Amino acid sequence: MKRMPTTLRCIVLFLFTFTNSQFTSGQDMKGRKTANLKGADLKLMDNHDPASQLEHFELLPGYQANLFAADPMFANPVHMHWDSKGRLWVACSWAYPQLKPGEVANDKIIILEDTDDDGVADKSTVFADGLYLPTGIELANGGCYVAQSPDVFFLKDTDGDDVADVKTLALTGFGIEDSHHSISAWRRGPGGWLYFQEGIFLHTQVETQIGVVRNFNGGVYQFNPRTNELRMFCRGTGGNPWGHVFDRWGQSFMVNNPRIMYLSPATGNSGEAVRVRPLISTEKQCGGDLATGTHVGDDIRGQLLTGRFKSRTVVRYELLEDGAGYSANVLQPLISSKHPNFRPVDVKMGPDGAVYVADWYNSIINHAQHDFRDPRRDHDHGRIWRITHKERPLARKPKLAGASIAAQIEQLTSPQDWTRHQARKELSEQDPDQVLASLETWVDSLDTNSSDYEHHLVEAMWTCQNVERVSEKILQRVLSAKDGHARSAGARMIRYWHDELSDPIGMIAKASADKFPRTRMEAVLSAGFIPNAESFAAALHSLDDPGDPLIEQALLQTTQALDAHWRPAMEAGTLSFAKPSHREFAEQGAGIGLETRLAQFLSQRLPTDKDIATIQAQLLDVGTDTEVGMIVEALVNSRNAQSPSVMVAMLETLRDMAKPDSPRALRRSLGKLRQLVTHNNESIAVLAANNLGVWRLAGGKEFDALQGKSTTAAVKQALAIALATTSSERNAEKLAQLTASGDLNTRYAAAAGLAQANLKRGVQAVAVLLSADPQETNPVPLIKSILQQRNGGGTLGDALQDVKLHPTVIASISRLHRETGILPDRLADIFYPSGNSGSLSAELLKEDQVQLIADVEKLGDPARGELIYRRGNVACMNCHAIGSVGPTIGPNLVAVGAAAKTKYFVQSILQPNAAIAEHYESRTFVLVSGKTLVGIMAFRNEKEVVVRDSSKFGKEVRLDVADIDEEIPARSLMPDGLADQLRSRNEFLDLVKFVSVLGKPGEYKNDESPVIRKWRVIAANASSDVPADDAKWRTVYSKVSGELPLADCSDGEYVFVRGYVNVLKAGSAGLQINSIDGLTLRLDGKLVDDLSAAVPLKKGRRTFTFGFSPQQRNTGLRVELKAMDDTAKFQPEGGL
Amino acid sequence: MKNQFLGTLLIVGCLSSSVAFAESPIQPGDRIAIIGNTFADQLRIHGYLETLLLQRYRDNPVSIRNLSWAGDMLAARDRPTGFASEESTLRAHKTDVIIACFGLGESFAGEEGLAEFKNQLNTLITSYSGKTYNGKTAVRMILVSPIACEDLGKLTPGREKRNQNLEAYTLAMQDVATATKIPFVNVFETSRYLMDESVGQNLTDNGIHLNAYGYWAMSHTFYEQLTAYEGVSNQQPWWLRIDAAKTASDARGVKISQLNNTADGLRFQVTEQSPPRLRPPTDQPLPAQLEVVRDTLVIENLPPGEYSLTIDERPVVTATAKDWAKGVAIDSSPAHKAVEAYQSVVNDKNLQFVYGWKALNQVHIVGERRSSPSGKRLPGEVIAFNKLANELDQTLRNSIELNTRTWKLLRTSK
Repeated sequence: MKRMPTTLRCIVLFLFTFTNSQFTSGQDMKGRKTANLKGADLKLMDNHDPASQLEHFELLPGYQANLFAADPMFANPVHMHWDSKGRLWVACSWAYPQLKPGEVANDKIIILEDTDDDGVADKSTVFADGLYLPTGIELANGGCYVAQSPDVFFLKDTDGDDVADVKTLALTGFGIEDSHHSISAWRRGPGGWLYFQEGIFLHTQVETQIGVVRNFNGGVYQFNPRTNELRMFCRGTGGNPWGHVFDRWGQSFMVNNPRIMYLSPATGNSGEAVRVRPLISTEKQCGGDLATGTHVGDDIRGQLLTGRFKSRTVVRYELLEDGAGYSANVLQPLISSKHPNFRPVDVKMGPDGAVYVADWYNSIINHAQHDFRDPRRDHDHGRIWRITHKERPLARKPKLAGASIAAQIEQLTSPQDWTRHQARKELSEQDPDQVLASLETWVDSLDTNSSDYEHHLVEAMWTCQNVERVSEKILQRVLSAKDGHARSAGARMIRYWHDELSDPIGMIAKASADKFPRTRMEAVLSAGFIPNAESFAAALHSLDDPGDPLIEQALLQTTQALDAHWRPAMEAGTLSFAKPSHREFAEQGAGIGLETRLAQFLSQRLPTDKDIATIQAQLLDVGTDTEVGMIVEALVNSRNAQSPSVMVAMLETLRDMAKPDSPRALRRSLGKLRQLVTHNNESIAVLAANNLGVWRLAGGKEFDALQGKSTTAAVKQALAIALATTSSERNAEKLAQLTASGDLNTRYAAAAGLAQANLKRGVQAVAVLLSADPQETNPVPLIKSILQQRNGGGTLGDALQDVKLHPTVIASISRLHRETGILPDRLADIFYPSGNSGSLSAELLKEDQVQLIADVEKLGDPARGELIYRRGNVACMNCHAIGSVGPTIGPNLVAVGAAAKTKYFVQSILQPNAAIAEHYESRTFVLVSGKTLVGIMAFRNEKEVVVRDSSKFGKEVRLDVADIDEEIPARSLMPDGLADQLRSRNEFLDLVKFVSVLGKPGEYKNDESPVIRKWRVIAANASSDVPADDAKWRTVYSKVSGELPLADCSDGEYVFVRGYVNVLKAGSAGLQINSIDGLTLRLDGKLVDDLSAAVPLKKGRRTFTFGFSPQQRNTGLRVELKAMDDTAKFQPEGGL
Repeated sequence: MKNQFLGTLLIVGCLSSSVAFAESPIQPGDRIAIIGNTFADQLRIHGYLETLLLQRYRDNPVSIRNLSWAGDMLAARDRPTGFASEESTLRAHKTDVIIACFGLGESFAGEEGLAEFKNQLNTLITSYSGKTYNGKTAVRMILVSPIACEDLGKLTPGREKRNQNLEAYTLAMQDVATATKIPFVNVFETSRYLMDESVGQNLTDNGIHLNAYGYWAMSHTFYEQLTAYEGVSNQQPWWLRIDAAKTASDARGVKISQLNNTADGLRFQVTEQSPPRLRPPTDQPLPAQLEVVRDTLVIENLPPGEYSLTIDERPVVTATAKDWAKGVAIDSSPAHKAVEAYQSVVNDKNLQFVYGWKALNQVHIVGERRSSPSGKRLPGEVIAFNKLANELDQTLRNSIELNTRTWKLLRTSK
């Protein structure tokens, strides 16, 4: 910002004057709005002495922090990396979040150096300046790659003064849509590729020597600095991917905002986005590293450290092996601070084994939460903190730069991961042939009895990859290792080396049958990179040991990646399989033999959910009339009764397979489904009616049933719509007549049908119905059915414009909207008039907002607020989770109070559309069928979109991209006027107060200790009488404190409450229960006699069922688990 | 001397018969938009072509907005959600002519993709056909081929095949241009020719994208093809020849007068008639073909020794009599400094335009998060950036001054 061309000076001057004149009475001397500073510790916020921060750190016992470097050496650190000389390179962005007109970009890369090894940097050098928002750096090829979207530059110093004098454009075309998740979190992987990642909304198109790499909505790139090759490592991660680490064996983990993801399984060669399910999702976090080396204590070694910039902590995750994959547990922070400016954004292990934390240092966080031009944005400060163990010796900085190849190779056995990483990097810049020769000799000299021998082999293998040389000799040894982790690293390598291996397919076949699950997974993934049919057949050995979902997901990717190879070979009969089961898998994928498989499926008594999903997918993919006939026969043949779930699935499948131009004979046979319309399971009856509609079979009999006395309302509606779908011309008139007379259920159903046949006429009939008392009839299904039609909401809105609606109708439809937000604006105005003069929300909006906010702070009571939050009619819990439990339609509120100011919550509740949190905009999907669906997008790739349906607590609905006609961005799903459900202004103050303290230190902090928070509750007759699993258990959640309130389980004289705990590693656990008076416990159905004694927990999902009499208990129930030995690892189950 | 002229012919010669247009593709005062791939996108960073074009019609200079986007292909031009339509930008710029650079990304489809490439080109041409953005006349089109692939060893695997494909796509584009009577610029031929030249540094750092030197080297043929037309010679580099023995001179681009021998050298007046050429961004030797596009002073028959040239008392270059006889490039004269300063304004104009048009954080300006209050000031800032670009564009209408200066050659050693 120091340089400024003369042409611009006057403009800047002008802008400066302009900005100055903006300082008004609502601001302090620094231009900060006084309203924004309410409640802030101003003294601390403005105290930029690092000592003021040091005082406020809390560290894990045994650890201490010191200041490594601070302004004015550098400011605004974004990302950092160590070089092999032990110097810290820091990307600094003064320009964040965006350059203003007239400013000159002058962001910098700074090298910090501790020349006397006292743990404090004493030298800083500006390696490069004139940059604009460098979001990531990594060292390679003797220089530094710098990401500043859309470009990646390569900068190099050629004359030894540590100042870059060469700048070339390495890559360009990355997404620019949102700089806070443009290409970032750069990291050299073990094999010498550089990895970096971008997030949601971004479009990327990069020309490379071998093609154009295109990507949308985020993913991880890998770039080979030796060949300039750019690949997609993984798509489908979306979000804000701000961190990426590789573990000791090369497995890859991502820090993606609140989510921790295990990436390796999603790195196949299908070219498509793969859905990566998070291991754990907690609070937003950025950057990170694995705690490694000899200096840190055993209490944190191997854990993932990442910066929670909202709650100002560096948190720890332990990653636990679980089949081919992992699960993750969150642990108490390594460091936390109450200083308002501490914002940890990157964490890296240093050459001395200490943990280094980059502190962005700002009282506010990023540009989505606060104004781009918020005067509180700090452009002058930044800190690097160093955390050491108080007692353990520091690691010694190795001498790597300039050392001989042999000396550098020796460092591959170092116990410090830092040293091995830097040794590989240094070797990557040596002569490749010499490195290869030296490595092949070196592995022969290794002590095969050393406990780390096999890891040394893996390091040698990776080093070969770093110099672009293949060593089959070393790979063979790795693949024959005793330790499965080593073999899995070898199996991964095949994807890179197959071209130069003598028998890569033999290697795949062997590794796909490995006894270590991760080796099988890696082998299957590698197979997808070998472009021929045999590699597919080799990967199928993984089928011999089924049951691991990650291996199945890997095989799907590889099946798709090799489709162009194995399918023609199989059709030509030239592909041979090792086992019949392998052939069967391939045939299934190719759609061969579906008839046989369907017959088998239909004869099964209790197929699994997966069996059902598999056959459904195949039927939709390649099913023919033959299979349709088979399904109908099975459904109507009472001798071979199917389970309800199978019947539902088959009816859904038939519905989705419907073709209006099917042969008459086939359609006639489908007519047999009529008999199911009277089925006593309503879902089955409705689906049968749906089928009669889509196959165009509904007629006179359906008219009779529609008017039948015993037909339920839901079935009536389905029948009426079926009639309209069969022939709108033929049936509209009769439906219209039915809307006018008869029982109300029939009239409502007929109106839904008429709307299907003729939307305009239908909504007129609806208008008439809704103006009268609905009595026992529920108007919600009728409204929902019209909303599902294209233009349904708008047309209905027109029709209802001047209609006086019955109050009962208004009450039930407005409740629907409050809970789901699905009414479009026009209808919301009609059914859910918010901001009416006199309504609470209107009154609150009229108030002086500064005063209102002040009253929240002063008068609001968070404890009362929590009870209001939990009240059903306020509907907060229909969409929001707090911590591990609840739906994911709206943002998780666990730390929201620590991230934003009270003003934001007041606004969000009164005007939900003013600022919609990232990723929570709703979308309306108009389908080719004419139906519409409203929800939040959970995942998308080229083929499918997964939407969370707000009207079903966020249930995920999968849509084929081909079936989507139009996608319209919509409003917040949180309706206006929710405050009108509150009884008074005081209740509003309480509610806001509660939300505003969430995540702040104190009673409402984010408590991640293993407390059971999700409960199923049911009333019972007696303490001995536990209702069956499929009885009507209700779901309730504990309060923030972890207590399940009595009020939420007073269903009867006696209640059972049930929580689940996923045990990852077996062991013994103690139960910390707030009060065990009158409490019984069954663990997996067996009574536990002594609730104060430790209980043994087996691996898997454990069920804790507590029983008590609410009347005899004077407190709610809080249950926390505590590991009683070193082995037990468990997580209480969260979610819905 | 003959060799140098031959060289000029080679560089310009790539115009060949295909560019024998009846009139110059670029007209005085044209408001130009550039669209296309990374090659087109990076033109705005280096400013060589644009500086040449802006100096072409000094009384009525052109105005350029570069709307290209790295990685663009004819059928795949991804933009941020809600991004300003190209049409609105073309209209805001009152565009007269569109220079469209495509073919690199498309060429990866190989021979099988050629027919589709031609279809897509025709679709592109049709999509602009008859459209009026300047309020008066239908927009004109110019098609530009991809450049060749440079041999950078392991960085450019399968290079020969790549060049076969790139050539095929170039020819396909030429066919479409001929059939639709649209001017066509072939940068493939010259780039392949220069890439195969053994002297001089590489034109690219990765085999496929020009570096600064590459853009300088290619700007000459690109410029010639955009502005030359049948029967009319174009602005050429300065070429001054003096015979010290005969005190005789001739020149192109400038006028030499008052040529006198002095005690230790020569003194003469040079009146600049055309703007000077930008110097190459390299210290390495240039291939002969590129030496001739530099402004050059030849002094024959000087007594042996080393001579320094000063222009208006400012030292410019020193060379031996032998070198002066062969010709010495003059590219740091006061006039050259002026054109360099002009080029930096060109680059700044492009930067300010991009800061506005292609501002970071589009989701907060026009995209998915446009209603978020945190970015409420950005749309106003986008307008301010655009205003800065327009102001710089006005500045660029003032071409550099052409002066009469005193050139002195002084013997500094024997």
